[in-house]
Amino acid sequence: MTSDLLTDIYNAFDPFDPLPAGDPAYVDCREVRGDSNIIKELGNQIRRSQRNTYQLYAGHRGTGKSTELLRLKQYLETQGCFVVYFAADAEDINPEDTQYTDILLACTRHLLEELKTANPKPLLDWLKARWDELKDLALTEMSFENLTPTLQITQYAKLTANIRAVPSLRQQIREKVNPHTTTLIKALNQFVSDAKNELSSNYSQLVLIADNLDRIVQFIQEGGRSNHEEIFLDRSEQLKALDCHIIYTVPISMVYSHRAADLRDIYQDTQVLPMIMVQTKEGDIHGPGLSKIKEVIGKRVHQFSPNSSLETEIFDSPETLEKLCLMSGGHVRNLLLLIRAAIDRTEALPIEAKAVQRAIAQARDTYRRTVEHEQWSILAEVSRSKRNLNEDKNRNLLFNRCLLEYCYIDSQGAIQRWCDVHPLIKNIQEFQEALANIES
Amino acid sequence: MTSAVIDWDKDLPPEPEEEYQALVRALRRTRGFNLLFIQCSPAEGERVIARAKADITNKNIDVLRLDKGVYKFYDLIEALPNRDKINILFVKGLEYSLFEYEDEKRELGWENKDIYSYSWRGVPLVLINLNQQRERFRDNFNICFAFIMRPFAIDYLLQRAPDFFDWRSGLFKVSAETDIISGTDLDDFNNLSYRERQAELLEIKRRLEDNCQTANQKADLLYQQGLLLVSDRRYEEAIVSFDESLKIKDDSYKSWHYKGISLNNVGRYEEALASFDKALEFEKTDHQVWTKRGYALDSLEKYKEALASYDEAIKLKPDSPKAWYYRGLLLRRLGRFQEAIESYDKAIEFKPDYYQAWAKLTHALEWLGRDICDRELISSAKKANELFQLGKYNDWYSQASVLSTLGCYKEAIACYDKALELQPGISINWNNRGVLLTKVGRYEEAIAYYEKAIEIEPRNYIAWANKGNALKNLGRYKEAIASYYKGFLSVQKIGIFLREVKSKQRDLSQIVRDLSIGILQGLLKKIGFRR
Repeated sequence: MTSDLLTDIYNAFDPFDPLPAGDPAYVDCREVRGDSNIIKELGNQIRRSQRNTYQLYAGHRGTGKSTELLRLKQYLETQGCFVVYFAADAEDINPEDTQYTDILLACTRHLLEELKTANPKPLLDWLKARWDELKDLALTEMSFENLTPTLQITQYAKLTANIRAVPSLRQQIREKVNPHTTTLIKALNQFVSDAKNELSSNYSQLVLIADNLDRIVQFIQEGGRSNHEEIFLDRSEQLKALDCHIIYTVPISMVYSHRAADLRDIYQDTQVLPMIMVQTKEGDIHGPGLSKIKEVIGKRVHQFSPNSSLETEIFDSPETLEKLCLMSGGHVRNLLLLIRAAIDRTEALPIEAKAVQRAIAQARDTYRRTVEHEQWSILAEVSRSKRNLNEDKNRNLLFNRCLLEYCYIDSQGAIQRWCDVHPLIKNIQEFQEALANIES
Repeated sequence: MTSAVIDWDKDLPPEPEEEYQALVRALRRTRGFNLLFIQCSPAEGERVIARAKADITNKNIDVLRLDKGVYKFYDLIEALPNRDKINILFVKGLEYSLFEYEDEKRELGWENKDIYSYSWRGVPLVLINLNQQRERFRDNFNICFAFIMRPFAIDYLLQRAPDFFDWRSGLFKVSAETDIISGTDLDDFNNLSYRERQAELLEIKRRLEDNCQTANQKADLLYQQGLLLVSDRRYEEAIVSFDESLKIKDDSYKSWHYKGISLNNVGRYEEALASFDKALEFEKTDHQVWTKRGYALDSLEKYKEALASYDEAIKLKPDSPKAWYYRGLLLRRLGRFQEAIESYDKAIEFKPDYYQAWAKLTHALEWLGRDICDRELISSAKKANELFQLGKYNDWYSQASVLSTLGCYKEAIACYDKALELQPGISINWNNRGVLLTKVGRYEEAIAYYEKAIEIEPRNYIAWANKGNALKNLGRYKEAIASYYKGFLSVQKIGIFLREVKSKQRDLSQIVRDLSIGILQGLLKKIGFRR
C-alpha cells in the first residue's frame, strides 16, 4: 500500500491552487512571517476607515498571497462586508501588455457580474454612448438597443475580452476608451453607489480585491520608465477613483524600486507577505520557522496517513526533513516542488536522503540557470549586507525569487525586514566565486 | 537511519536512467492536471515516449508533435479530438515557436543580446499564451502535460515564462548533457534541418557560456559548432570556431580537416592547404583529407601536386566518387579530356546518381567535340537532366550547361539567371550566360556579360577570350585582339589560353589559327600594345 500512499502524498503537494479559506491544510505562519497578518493589516484598515481605502499587497510568487487574500475575503465577509474578489486572469489582463484602463475595465466587469442586484443602467448608458465607436471592436453586428441587459453585460465582457485577445484591437479600444475614462469612472461610481444602497441593509462596506495584478510583466518603456510605474503611480488617481475599498496586488519589485517612497505617499503602507523565516539573519536555523514548514508538510501528509512520523516514516531521518525544509527558503511553492521532486525519486517510503539531495541539486541548477552572469555580484552583495537596495537592477532578482524577503519582530517589538539570497543559491559555484571576489 | 554522512553541500548530478524512472513515477502518480518538463535531445525524447508507452499501460498516452510555431497552444489542446480521454500528453517541438519569434525580432533589427538575454522587451507569443492561460489549463484539462524540450528551450522558459514554469511539478533530465548535441562528424549534421541545426547551435552556445566545461569538452564543443556552421555554409564563422578549438587541442586532425574545407569554400586555398597538411601530420589514411587537399592545390593551380593528392585519396579508397570526380575536374582543366571522362566514369560507377559527375561528363564530352548526334553525349546530358529534375540539386550553373548541350537555350539562360540571382559574385556564371547569348548571335549583349565577369574576376581569361571572340564576330578586330591579349596576360600560359579560345569556338577554328602566337604578337605591335 505504500506506493498508493505515496501517490496520495504526491497529489497532496499540488502547487497549482491556492488553498481555499478554511482548508485543513492551511498553516497559520504569521509569527514566522514577521507577525504579518493580512487580516490585521489590510482588513482592519477597511473596517475602521471612514473613507475608502486603496491598499497594495505584494509578495513573492507562490508564497501564499492568494491563499491569504482568500482568507481575508472570508474574514471581511464575517465582518459584514460585501467582497468582490477576482484573480485577474486571461479574461482580464494581458500580463505582457496591460494599462490602467484594462484594470479599470476588469474591475468594472467583475463588479457587474457580482453585483447583480444593482442597476447597471449608468454603465450601460456609458457603453451605449460609446457603442457606435466600439461595436466594431466588440466584433458584433448587433445594435445595442436590441440587447437585453444581460446580453448588454455580455457585450461589455466581450469588449474587455477583446482587449486581452486581439493585440491590434487592444490599442484601438484603449484609444476609444481613454478619453472617456472620467465619464466611465463616473458611471461606474453611480453603479457602485446604487449597489451600495441595495447592499446597505445587509452589508456595511463594499470591498474589491484585485488579485494577480502582480503578474503584469515589467517592461521598461522608452525613457527608462517601467509600465509598473505608469500604472500604479502615474495613474493612481484613476485607480483610486472608484467609490469602494480596493486592494490591488502589486509586483513585489515595485515595492523595492526607487519609486517606493512615492508608492507609500499615494497608497497606505504596502503590505508585503514575507517568506517563512527558516534561518535567522545571522544564518542560524530559526526553530519556530522550521517547525512551521514541517507543519505545512505534516498537515498535507497526515490527511492520508494520520499517524506516520515525518522524521522516520515519511523521511528517512530528521536530518533529511530538516535539510529539505531549509532549502525551501521558507517559500511554500518551492517547498512543494522540492517535495514532489523528492517523491519522484522515491519508489517506496521513507523518502531517502539521496532523493532529497537530487531534488535539491535540481532546484539549485534551475536557480543557476535563472541568474544572469552580471547578477552574481549583486547577489553576493545582498548576501553580505542582508539588505535589499531599492535599485532597479535588483528587481528581476526579486521577481525570480533569487532574493527573498524575511521579516521578524525584534526585542523592542519593532518589525525588522531583511533580505537574503535563496538558500539554494548559496552553494552555486558562481555565487561563491562572486562572494570571494567581494570579500577579497 | 542514515549510516553514511551526507555531504549536503555537494551536488548530486542527475543520472539519465534514474531521471527516467522518476519521470515514470510522476506520470503514474499524477491525478488530473500536472505540468512536467523533460529535458533531452529530440531523439531521446522519442525514446522516452516509446518507453513510457510500454511502461505505463493503465493510462491513456498521447503525443502532440509540433513541427512549426504555434501561438494559441490552449486552443490547440482544446481542439484535440480525444482530449477527454487523454491522461498524459507528451508535447514536442515547442522550440519552433521560439525560433519564429526570434526570426521575427531579428527582422525588426533586434540584436542577438536583446533576443536572448533576460529582457522583458518581448516574449514569444506562445509563452504569453501559456502564461496567461495557465489557470484555464488547470481548470479545463484533466491532463498531465509532459513537455519534451531541449535545454536551451528550458532556459528560455525559466527566463521568459517564469510564472508558467513556476507551476511545474518536475523537471527530468533524461539526456546526459553530452548527448544533447547530435553528432561528431559532418554527416551527422548534414541530415538535420535548418531549424534543428539552429537548435544545436544554441545548445552549444549555451554550454560554452557555462563555465563548467573542461578544456577538452570545450574543444569538442567548438569543433561541433564548427561542423554545424559548415553545414549551414557559414564558413567564415566555422573557421573561427575551428581555430578556437585548435587553440585548446591542436592534435585533432578532424578540426584541421574541416577547417581546411571551410577555407577551401571561401577561396583561401593557401591556408586551406596548410590546414590539410597539418591534418596529415596526425592522420595520413583519411582519403577525404587527400581529396580536399587536392582541391586546394588544384585551385592554387598546382596541378601536378593536386593530381598526386587525388591519386593518394584514390589509393586509400578506390571507390571514392568524390576523389574521382575532382580528379576529373582537374584533368579537364589540364585539357586531358579523355582522362577526365574516364575519371567521371569512375565517379559515376561508384555513385550512379552523382548529378555533378554526369553534368561534367556531358561538358567534357562536348568539349571533346562530340556533337548533338553523339549518343554518349546525349544520354549523359539526359541522365544529368533527369537527376536534376528530382529537385535535390541547386547547381544551376552545371544544369545550364547541360541544358545548353541539349539545345534548350532558353531554359539554360533561365538557369544562369537563377545562378546569378543566388550567387551574383561568381564570375563564371556571368561568362556562361554570355556564351549562351552568342549561341543565338546576340554578341553585343554577350559582351556586357563578359565584362561583368571580368569586373568580378579580372584574371578570368576565359571571359577575356570570349569577349575577344564576340568582338571578332562583330568585326571589331582591334578590340578583339586587345581582349585576347588581356586574357593571355592574365593566364600567362598561351597554350591554355589558345585552347580556350579554340574549344569554345569550335566553329571558328580558322580564326583561332590566325591567332597563333606570332600573328597575335604582330597584331599587338601594330596597335601599339606593350606588355
